[in-house]
Amino acid sequence: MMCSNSFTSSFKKFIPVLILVILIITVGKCLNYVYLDDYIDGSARNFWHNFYHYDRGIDSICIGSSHVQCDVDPQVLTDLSGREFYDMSTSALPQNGCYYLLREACREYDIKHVYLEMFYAVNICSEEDGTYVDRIESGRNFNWRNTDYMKPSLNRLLYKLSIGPVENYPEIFVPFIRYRSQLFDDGHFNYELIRHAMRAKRDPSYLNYGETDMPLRDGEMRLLKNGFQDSTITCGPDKFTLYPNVDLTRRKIGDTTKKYIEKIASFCKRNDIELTFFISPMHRLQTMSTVDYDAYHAQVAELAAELDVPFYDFNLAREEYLREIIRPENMIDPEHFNRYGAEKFSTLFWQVISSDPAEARNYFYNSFSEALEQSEPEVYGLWGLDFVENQDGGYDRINRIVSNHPEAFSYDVTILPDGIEAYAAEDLSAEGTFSFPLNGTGTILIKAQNKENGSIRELELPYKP
Amino acid sequence: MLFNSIHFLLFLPIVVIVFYCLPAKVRYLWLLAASYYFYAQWNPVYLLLILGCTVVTYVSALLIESRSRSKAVMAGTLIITLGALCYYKYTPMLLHLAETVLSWFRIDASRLQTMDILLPVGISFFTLQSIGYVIDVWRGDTKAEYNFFRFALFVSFFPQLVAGPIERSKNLLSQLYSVQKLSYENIRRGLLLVGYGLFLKVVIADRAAMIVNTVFEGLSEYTGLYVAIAAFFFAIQIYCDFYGYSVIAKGSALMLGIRLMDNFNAPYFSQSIKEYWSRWHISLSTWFRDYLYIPLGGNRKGKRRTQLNRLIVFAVSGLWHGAALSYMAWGILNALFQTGEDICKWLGAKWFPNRVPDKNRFSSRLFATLRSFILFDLAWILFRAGGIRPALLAFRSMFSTFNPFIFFDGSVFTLGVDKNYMAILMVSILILAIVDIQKYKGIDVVDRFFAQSPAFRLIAELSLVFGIALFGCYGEMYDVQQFIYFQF
Repeated sequence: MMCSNSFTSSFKKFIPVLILVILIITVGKCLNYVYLDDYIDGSARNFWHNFYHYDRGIDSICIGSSHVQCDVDPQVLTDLSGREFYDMSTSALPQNGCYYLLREACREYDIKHVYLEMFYAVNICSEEDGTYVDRIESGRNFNWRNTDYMKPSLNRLLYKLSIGPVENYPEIFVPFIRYRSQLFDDGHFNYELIRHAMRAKRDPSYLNYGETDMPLRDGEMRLLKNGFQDSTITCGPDKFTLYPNVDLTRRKIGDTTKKYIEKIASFCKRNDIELTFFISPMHRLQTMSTVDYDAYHAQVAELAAELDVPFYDFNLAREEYLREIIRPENMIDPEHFNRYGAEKFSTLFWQVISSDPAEARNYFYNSFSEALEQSEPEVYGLWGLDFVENQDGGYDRINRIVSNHPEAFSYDVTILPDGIEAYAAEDLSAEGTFSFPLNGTGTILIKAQNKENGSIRELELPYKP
Repeated sequence: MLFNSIHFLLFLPIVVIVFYCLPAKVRYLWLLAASYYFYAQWNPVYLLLILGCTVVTYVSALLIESRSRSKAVMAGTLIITLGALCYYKYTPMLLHLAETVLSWFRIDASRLQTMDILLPVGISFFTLQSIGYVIDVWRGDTKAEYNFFRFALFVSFFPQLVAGPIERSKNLLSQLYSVQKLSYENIRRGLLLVGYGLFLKVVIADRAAMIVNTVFEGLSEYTGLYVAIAAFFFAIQIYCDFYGYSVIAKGSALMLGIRLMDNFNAPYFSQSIKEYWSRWHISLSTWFRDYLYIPLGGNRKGKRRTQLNRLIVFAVSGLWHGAALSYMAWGILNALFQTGEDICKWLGAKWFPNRVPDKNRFSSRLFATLRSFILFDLAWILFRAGGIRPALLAFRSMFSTFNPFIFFDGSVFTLGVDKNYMAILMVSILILAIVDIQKYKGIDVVDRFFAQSPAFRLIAELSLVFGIALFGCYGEMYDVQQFIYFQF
């Protein structure tokens, strides 16, 4: 009797604690509901739902960033190979994310083939105030959004723990804490954000893991059930003016990133999974802006050789294979393919990965510089290099016309500012560098005449401040 | 390891759980290991320093007890412990001083400045605590501790190791002997204190720090009420920072069944500077009272000597805070304020012998509180400005213009904290004021809290948890601020 009374009184003591814990969890869940930014995280939610409910079984996965999502069409590969392919990828996914996604895939399905994408932007260090930070440390948000919708498991816990140091655990483990600053965006109470998020989350389409009224990009992309980001967007002329910001001569693959690539390789070896590294092709305007793409390629090739993993860099693919793929109508932007480009690239991808390694070599040049050298002279677009203050107190933008053979062309550049009379760029150098005052919007008309055959290539590129 | 870090929030429950799982006889060893781990997170090399301090004071106390209060041992202990403290704390200042003096004689002594001495965290606290123990043994107020490991825990007990309270052996050492039973009351009270301490630190102190840093790091750009506002928020910042630390320390220790002394007792409601110093950093004030002021003669040797003793104590207290003249000036200013108060009281009694002010009148108390707060706050400028010259610049800037419009045109919200967060900050300060008023009245706030209805408590506890989660300065968006008193 005494014992029973003592137990009852102890239990009574803990009732308020229990209620408090339940309330903390409930309020936390409500705040997650209110705060979680589905503009970004909606795709992760749908991705995981589709992945866990994929009824066809999966034996081959392509892992990586948005390049995998947009460039590799699993349906094409499934049709060509007779295997079941899946795009196990989310935007800008760093290599620790790739590792844990691979483990998750192996937990759920019997995976036999893994194609790991090695896009430079997710592997090289970020530059922050003159110091180089591994992408895994600098791009935590690309990882933590993934973990919110994974099934509870030890793998998920380990993934979360790998995302950041102890000090970031609140943001990693409690989603609303990441977005708490949004409550007071722009100095006022951001009721609109909450209202919109709550309305969207009550939408039947959202509840059924369909497309939400929160567009992923321009409303013309949709995430298919096999992880493919299907898009009909085509690359407009505005996309061919870039501001290069990645110098691959200075930024190397980070040590932590390397460690996770090695973990992926050893995991695959242990589980008898065939691993292949690849890089999907990009528009030359993009690849050339990295200053020395070969420096990056050499790093990956070295790592692949060390780990005894085949590596295919499609930026080095021979021109005859890429000519019909890398075209504005096949691309969303200079980095990603749309549905049409993905279909063509996936076909080439299968041709390469299904051939004998010695034979596969025939699809590629030895280096990116050789690829540029061997290609027909072409004008790819424009780089906005810098801004300098002009005499009128405004700013001039310094531009360079990008070509694989700049010496093969003579240029004629006309600036057509909106509402002002057109004029020719006066300071045009032989390498195609020129500047113009950047006030307002307009168009740059580039006429590049091939010195050898006299053919003219015309580019009309819009500009804005 | 900072109290406001996730590392600590993981460390504390592990320490508490393992502590109660172990047999009572060996628990102190676990706490000692945890305390050394805690300290090693800053710099493992300095564990040698704390170990050295422990060995010296442990052996000294035993020698003093066995050799009937040997003065030589006492003096030797003071020389070694204070010598170590001075070496780490004051060498850079002394070298700078030496360089300045030598430069008057055109002697190049710039190489002196190349000595790079990193101040070990908490050295000022554990040194004073150890010295206090040895003096107590020497005076016969306490017995020497024979168990080395238990004594080592007394010196290094992690909740109060790096920023106090500076405990007395009578209070802490005796508790290390008693068997701490797992108590629901202690755990819930401890958790509440840790939560409240975190609220003070990450919601109030670190937010106020944004305003303070903006103004004091750009003193040449701010004048008038901008500087006054920054000074006001610095008073809030330093109080919530240090009080927050002390409350977390008290809460953490309470979860282990150990009661630490109160280090603060609503100081900003004091009605005089003297009262303020009996409510601010109580463990340090009483340490200086017992081990310096009273040995100097205290107030037993006449009025002039009392004032001189006070001046010495406050100058030393200032220097204890930091190796700079501005800290000493801050201490002296506080002593002078008290002298001023004494003179005013004396003059009042002499000139108006029949007019005795009614101290219970609300307006009198309000005036006295405001006056005292303004005086402390002016002194705080010396503390924060980072030198006497910047402090003088701050005083000059504060009184150079009168710009009340900054409250109406939104300028006040350009100091690093926008309108919404300012509103949250002010509401938080109001909560602090309500709690402090209760304390000032002598009410045990924790007792009173647990006497409220369960619904009220639940709402308050939830508000505390989510207030910290939503409005605290921590995580990726913020630079986690170290506790101010860690640097001392």
